Amino acid sequence: MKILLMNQSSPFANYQAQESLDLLLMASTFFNELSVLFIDDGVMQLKADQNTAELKTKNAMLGYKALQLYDIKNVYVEKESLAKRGLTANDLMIEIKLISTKELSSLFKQQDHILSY
Amino acid sequence: MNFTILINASPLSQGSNTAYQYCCALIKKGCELKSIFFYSDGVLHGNKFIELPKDEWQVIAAWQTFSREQNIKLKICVSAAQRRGITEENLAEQFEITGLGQLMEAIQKSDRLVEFNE
Repeated sequence: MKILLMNQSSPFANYQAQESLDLLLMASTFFNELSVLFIDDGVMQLKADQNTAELKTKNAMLGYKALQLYDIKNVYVEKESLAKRGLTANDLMIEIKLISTKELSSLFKQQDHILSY
Repeated sequence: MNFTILINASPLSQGSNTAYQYCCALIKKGCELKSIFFYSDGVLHGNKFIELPKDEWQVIAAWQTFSREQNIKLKICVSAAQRRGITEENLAEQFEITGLGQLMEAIQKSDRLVEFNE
């Protein structure tokens, strides 16, 4: 079963991003054709070198560094979302696959289920 | 066709009303509802102390009646619940505290997963 988890939320404004990561890790123990997509403000979740100490919040996004341990290989980031925020793939903390807006619909079509946070 | 419904929307948001109406429509259409799961702010539905003004649509009571009539438990994720102060002590009727694993199992058995976020 192919599952896609789509992340659109900014990392630290609320618990959406963290709860999405919790869900992703649980999903990885049930599904082996899992993909995750970061789009819009969601791309900020993967930005490297974010020091959240002054926010008095834990940087739960560091959990994404462990994706390989969970055997999650299909990690996509929308190119246009990065560009809009003045970022490139080099600003991110993990290796990802860039995907463009026009390729999104074919990614979605491949899935059995899509979740979004 | 069988469905899993995932509700992230809080009981104070439109998403909850929409989700409820969607579930009613599914039953009318003869579809099978495998599971109704509340995650993120959706877990707030399980707080038995929520009191909505009497002249407003009683969305939580509607969910509870639906759950009783269709014999489908309303499942709440334990970790999201803990963060928001929902425990066995203040858990509303028809709700059950479980884990994300149960959501995953439901998805495995479903043709469709429909999510309500806000």
